Amino acid sequence: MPTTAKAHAAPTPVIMLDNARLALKSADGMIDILKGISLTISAGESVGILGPSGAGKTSLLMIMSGLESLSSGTIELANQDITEMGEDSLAALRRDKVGIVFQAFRLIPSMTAIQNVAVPLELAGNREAETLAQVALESVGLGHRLTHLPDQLSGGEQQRVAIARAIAPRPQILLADEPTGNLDSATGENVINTLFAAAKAAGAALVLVTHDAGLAKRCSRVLHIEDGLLVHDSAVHAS
Amino acid sequence: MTKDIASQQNNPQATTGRSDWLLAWRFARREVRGSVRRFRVFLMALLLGVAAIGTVGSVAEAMRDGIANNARVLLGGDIELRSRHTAPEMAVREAAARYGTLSNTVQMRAMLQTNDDRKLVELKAVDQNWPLVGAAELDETTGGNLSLETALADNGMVADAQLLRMMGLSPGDTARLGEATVRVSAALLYEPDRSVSFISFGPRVLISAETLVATGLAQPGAFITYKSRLLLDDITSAKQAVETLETVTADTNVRVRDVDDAAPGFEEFIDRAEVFLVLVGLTALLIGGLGVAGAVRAWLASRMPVIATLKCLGAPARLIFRVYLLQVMLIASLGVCLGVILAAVAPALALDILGAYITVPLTLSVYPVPLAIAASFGLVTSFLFALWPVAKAEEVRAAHLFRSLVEMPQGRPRTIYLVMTGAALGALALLAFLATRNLALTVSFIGGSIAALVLLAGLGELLMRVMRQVPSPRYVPARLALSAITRPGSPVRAVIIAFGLGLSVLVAVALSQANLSRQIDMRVAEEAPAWFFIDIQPQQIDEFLKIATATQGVTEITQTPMLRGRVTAIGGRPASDFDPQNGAAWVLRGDRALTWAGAPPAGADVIAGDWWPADYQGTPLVSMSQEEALELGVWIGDSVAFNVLGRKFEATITNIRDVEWESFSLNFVFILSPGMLEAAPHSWMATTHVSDDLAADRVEIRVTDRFSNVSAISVREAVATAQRIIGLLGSAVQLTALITLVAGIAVLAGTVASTEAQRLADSVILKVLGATRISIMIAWFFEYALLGVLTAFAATLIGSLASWALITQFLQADFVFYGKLVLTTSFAGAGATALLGLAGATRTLGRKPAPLLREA
Repeated sequence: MPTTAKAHAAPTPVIMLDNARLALKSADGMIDILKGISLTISAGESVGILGPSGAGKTSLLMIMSGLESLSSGTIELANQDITEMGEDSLAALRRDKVGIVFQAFRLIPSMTAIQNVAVPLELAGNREAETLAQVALESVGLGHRLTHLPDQLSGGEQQRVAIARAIAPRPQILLADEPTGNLDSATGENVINTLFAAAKAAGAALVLVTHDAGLAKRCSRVLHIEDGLLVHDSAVHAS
Repeated sequence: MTKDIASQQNNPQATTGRSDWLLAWRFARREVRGSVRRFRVFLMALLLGVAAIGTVGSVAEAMRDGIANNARVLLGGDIELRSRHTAPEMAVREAAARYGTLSNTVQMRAMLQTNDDRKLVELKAVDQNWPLVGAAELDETTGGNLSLETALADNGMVADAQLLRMMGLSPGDTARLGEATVRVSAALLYEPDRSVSFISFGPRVLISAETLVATGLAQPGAFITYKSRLLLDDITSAKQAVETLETVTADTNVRVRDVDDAAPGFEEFIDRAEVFLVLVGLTALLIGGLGVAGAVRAWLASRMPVIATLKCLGAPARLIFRVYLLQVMLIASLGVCLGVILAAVAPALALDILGAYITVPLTLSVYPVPLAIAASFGLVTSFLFALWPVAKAEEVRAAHLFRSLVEMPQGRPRTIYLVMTGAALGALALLAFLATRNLALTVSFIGGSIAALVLLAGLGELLMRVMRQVPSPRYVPARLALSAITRPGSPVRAVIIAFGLGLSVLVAVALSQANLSRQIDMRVAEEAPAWFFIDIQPQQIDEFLKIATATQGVTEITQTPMLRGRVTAIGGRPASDFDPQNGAAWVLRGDRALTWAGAPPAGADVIAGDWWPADYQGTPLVSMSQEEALELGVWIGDSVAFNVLGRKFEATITNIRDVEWESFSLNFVFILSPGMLEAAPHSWMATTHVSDDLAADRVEIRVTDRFSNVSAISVREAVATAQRIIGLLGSAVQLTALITLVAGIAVLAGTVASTEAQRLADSVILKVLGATRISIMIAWFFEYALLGVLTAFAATLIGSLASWALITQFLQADFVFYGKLVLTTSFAGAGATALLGLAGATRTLGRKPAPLLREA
């Protein structure tokens, strides 16, 4: 019975960290940024990461996007061990499996909204890149802003273009770093709604780094990071 | 709000990562539109460099084409037979006449005299067949509708309009030419076979062959050039005719030329000038290249967030490289296209400018080869200098996006890009070789460029170190300026290399020109004779000396017999075996002035061997000048074979003289022992020194009144001509130095642009801390003024050194340091550096701090 099977199927893990450590070089020698974090995030989950400044939240997000390499431990993204993966392979993995939303939007200023959204699809060689980009923009309510350049859009609209760009390739993982940090509260609320809806529609795991505990609580799971250590996992706590 | 897009993605046709050029082109095209503005100065430097190289090549081609297209007109026929002193023998003329129509002309210098004026002219006597090709044009307002034949009949003459004006002559007036009285018929507007050159010793006067006989000027030994032009009945017989005539004239003093060699001396001049100017253009382009590197680096620094974003979205490194390389090359292509367009129309503009100096016909056309070479130079230079920054751009770390710490990666790029750099350098060297067609010159240029860069870089480094030792000033703006100059990554080195090079050239040119003019003026004042008297017949020399000596105010007279002959072999090697690029090849090229002497001439500086006894009558011996002997690889004991008026003989080098060519004495490469040349038709040449201008006029009038065949060449006029040519060359070099300076400005602009972000951040913080815009501007003014002073210092040092080397080592003259001139030149350039830098930097000053602080 398909429905029964679906109801009892175990959630698919899309991010798996095992004793992940990150140490970076500084003028004073090596600094331990992440001190052995182990966790699993499954498809469809929404995870909020909280913690004070310098705790290692953003570093954890960079590890999860394959932008930073572990000093020790292992990491799997979308069932692929990326611990030893080369830079171009990681780029291809990000292109196909990981969507990222930044606090500062990071749109390409010389490209229109639709061109910005089409970039990852074009990189993947998708011949329908522009059509799919248009669909993604319509899905975030920007069907009327397709040919606008970033500086012709409001902050909230820019962030929604960034969300459309992140979800357009249908990633399994959606990472967001303080996505409302540059927006006023009303616009931020609107953007967060869009982000959650987009992640749900794509069936992607949403990982959200934030300082806002209220925002984190909207996630199905909350992680607390302090001094490079995972000090609280609501999923573990609940179980 | 969110729609489900999954259903619409059922056929994504996704492929594995695509980084092909097509995708790179698509991304590049989207981004490049907004980038052109940032590259305005880079475009200007590229445009100028390409336009300079392309213009030089196009004008040179236009001249060569003009010569080739007008070869028959310039040569005066299909084949020319030319001889000096004596006319080609009748047998030679008869052999030539079998192939077509022959026209004979005689050319020499002579004095045209009226009752109260006398002028040195270039006299040309023509027969009734002249001109075989084209037609002479006479001024209808002065000569009516005269035919040339009528104009020259009955002792008629036509002459340059300017000469007639200067001497107050009109049609119908008479003048004296040698022993004949000639009548002015008309002004000569155009002479088809007038030789192409920069210098002429006098205006043209045209008479008939019969009138020449009447003048009595064609004396034996006089410096006369005979030309017989042949217009072939059947043009296909040209090769055979040339072969026959070369055989017939093999042992004579007659030279055979055909249309392939219509203006040999001038074509060589075009080649040399082209090579020189192409290399200057290339220097400008290479300096501009440093600007390209700076501008590209600054531009890429501003694109770092975009590059990091693209990498974040899955773009592989090589796609990044391709996207940005394509953009740079697209913008470079725009600059190159504009430069090529400018170079293509340049020959039309050059026509007006060059027309005042030369008579070469220019063929207006578009010359694809020089334009293609110039365009290739522009593209390869852009590629070479953009390669490293673009290669480093692919190493930008996407992770930095999370920390707003996007910065340009440092260090050397990957090996593949080092290989590409080597290949681009090789391509540049190949292009330089194609443009100059001279391997030694290409290698010297590349070696010289590297040496100059190393020298300037070393000087920049040294100055940096010295500045670091300077104690920090108390005045805050001065302290900020000093720290900006001495901080890591300071623009001092780049600006000193690029701007300093252009400024050094300018200093060197100004200083050398001042020294050269001083040399000439000094020698004119101290050593130069007032007159050179030529074509004095052997039977006239004693009387000449009597007249000159008896003239009040004549202080010194020197005289020497002279005739012309050809060197056919030297040191056992035929003259034709020597490399035409040899520094002394001119000795072997045409007829050389020869003389003989029993005793060593006054002032002769014999540095090796012994002079022969005054009464020597044995086998021919020869004394040779040192510089030419060394260049041609001969010394005492070696032989020199001569052909003098068809008579061949060999002489042994017995001694070597050090000859000061730049002096105004009568100098000869070869002085023969007595007994060999006295019997040959020859003339005497004499110089006279005088105490004042009145004495100069007196001796000229007395001599030319007594000897109508003797011509007087004014040293003052010759010096004025030389000064004019030095001035012209100086202007050309200064113009090209200015082009290098403009290229230097591109570097400065690139440097300012590359520090813009840092400057903006500094100004924001300073404003937050309470600094006014004026105080920030004063700090930046100090910074650029200091940069200007350092650049001026480097330029003064290197420019003066280069000028000293040129004057003392190459020209072997005394060097005078004109401090005021050098400092004016250096500091004017340095002032420009400071003002331009400041103007560029202050653009960032108007930005309000609040929005930038929020962005941060």
